[in-house]
Parts: sequence; C-alpha cells; structure tokens
Amino acid sequence: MVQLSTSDNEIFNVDRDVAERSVLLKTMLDDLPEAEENPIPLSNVSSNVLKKVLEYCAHHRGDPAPPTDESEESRKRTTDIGDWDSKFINVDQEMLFEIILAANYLDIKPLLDVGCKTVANMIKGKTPEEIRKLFNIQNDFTQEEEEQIKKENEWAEDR
Amino acid sequence: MTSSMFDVVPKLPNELSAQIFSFFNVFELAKLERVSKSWRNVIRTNPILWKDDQFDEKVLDPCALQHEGKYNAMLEKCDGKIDKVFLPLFLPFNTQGKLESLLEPLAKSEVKDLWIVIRKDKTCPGRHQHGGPNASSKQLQDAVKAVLKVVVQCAHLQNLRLATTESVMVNTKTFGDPKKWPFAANRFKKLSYLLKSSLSSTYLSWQEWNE
Repeated sequence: MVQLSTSDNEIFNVDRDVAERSVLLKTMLDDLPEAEENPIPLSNVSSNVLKKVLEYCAHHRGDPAPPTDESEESRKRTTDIGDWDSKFINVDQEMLFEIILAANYLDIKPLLDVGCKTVANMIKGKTPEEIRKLFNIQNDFTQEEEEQIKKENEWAEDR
Repeated sequence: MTSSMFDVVPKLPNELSAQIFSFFNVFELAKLERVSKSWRNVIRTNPILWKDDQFDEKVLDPCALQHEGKYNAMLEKCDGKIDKVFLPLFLPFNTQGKLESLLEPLAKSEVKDLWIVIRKDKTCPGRHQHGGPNASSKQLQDAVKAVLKVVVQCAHLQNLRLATTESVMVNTKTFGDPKKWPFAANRFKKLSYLLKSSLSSTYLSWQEWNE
C-alpha cells in the first residue's frame, strides 16, 4: 500500500501497482524506499481529481507498459479512444482540463493521451468560427491580421 | 457536458496544447491558426507539428501549384526541421525561376527523405485541365539539373526519390563526385508503384546517373 496526500490534505491508500501507473510515483517509490512509509504529497492535485485519476489507474493496472517514444508515429493522428476510456473521460470540461494537467504532472502518458485526444475530437471537423463559439473564444485578430493569415493559408482551403 | 465550455489552449502549458494539436494534419492546423492569437502562437511555435510525414494520397495530390503555398508554409513554419518532402513539379506551370525558388529552401533544410516527381505534361488528375503546351524535353532536363544542383547541397539527405515522365540523361559529373553526395546514388529506385497512382508513364533513367 502507498499513501498519497492531495492538495486539500486528503489521504488516499493505493495499491502499489496502481500508483505505479504514474511514472513519477514509480520513480519515487523505486528510488526512495521510505516513501512507502510516509504519505507522498501531491500538492498539485486535488482529491476529486486524484480520485478520478486513480480510477483510471486501477482499471488499467494490468496493462502492459506504455509504448516508448519509438512508436510515437503509430499513435499520431488516431483519435480513437477505447470504450471504457471514453466513458471515463465523459466529464465536464473543467475536470477534463484538470485530468490533463494531473496526468502530465504524474506522468501517466496513456491518460494524458486520452485527455488530449478528447479535446482534439471536440475540435475536429469544425470551422474556426464554430470552435470559437464552442469554447467561448474571443476572436482577437484584427481584420487585417485575419486577412493576412487567410492569405498565407490559402493552400489549405478548398479541401 | 453541462458546464459552460472554456478555451483550454491558453491555460495549458505550451507543450500540452501542442500535444492536442499533434492530432491534426497540416491542412487542419492551417485552419486552426485562425481561431485566436493564442492558438496561432502554439501552432507556430511548435515546428514539430509542421512535419508532414504522411505521404498519403491527399498529400500526394499531383497539382504542384495547388500545394506551393502549403510547401512554403511548411518549410517556413517548421524552420527547415523537416524529415520528408514530397514535391510534385509540373513544368508547364512551374517556370525555371519558380522551380529554383521552390528548391532553394531545401538546401538549408534538414530534409532526410526527398521525393520529387517532375512531369512535363499538363495533366492534372481530378482537377480541371490547365491550358498551355507541354514542356519540352530540354525543359525537363533543365528541371532535373536544377533539382540535382540543390539536392547535392542537402547535407541531411539520405534518400532521394526522383521520378520523371520520360527518361532524362544528365551528366552527373556536373554535380560533383557522386561518392560525396549526401545520399547514396545506389538508393535510386524505380518508382514502379507510382504507376498505380494515376501518374502514368512515370519512369526513370538511372544508367547515366549510376555511372
């Protein structure tokens, strides 16, 4: 068992193999044997986010080690997400945002990937106007700047 | 998702936003640049996004003119740090001067794999026919020379695949010692599979080049 303490001072008791889905925690546990006795402080992660992240780690506890950077190419550009993962990531946007940050901090690549793909899927196939509307983004380009970018990227139109 | 949506891009660290954008190809990125300044900033400050390593049929669109802007934008936005370039050249539309301006940035780039197709006819499958006569064999030969002149300067080049619509004889000695070329001359291969991709009568002549 490993103890994790969150930014709001909640303590989580976690099986070691679940905690080790996080490369950060795995490195800590490998390097510092005493880390197993004291709660590991995760000052960047709140309890509601950690609960969610641990749910992911527990489900994927038996997964083979995530592929190393060499297989980056095959990963690229497929935004398919597995069934369990897509149910898991069907959360409000604030939580999605927090999960991405936590996955990055804890170094859980597959979870970070799921988070980024989810955002990418929200954007896919939409025009800039539709994207602005969806995410409440202010168009901060002047008309001249907008014309300029449009001209530079003419080659991407008509596709 | 009930709560109101917000823009994650300016709130995430640059490299995480870049990771989101890594799921888009260069055509999509060019559109996403127009969303806002922070989006444009992330997309333009991550050259890796502009490496187009997909030689898929969309990129293999044989209309060179259609892609000149894309090609220039990619080279510029990835700061020359590009691995692969596919460059279809259509001589009736690409004048010698334009050809040189297309090729020149390659010499300074880090391209490793270069694939150039030179056609002298005006066929442009899937699009309307452009007017004008076919280029002459002399123009084709000049184009091949212009290509070779530049590619022997590409210090990072490992693979050159060059296809033309008819056999071209070029004296390789004009371009220095083939042994000192950044790529191995024996890697030249006949691009037979290009025959399948609507580029009919594509063949190469290596006899002179391999001498």
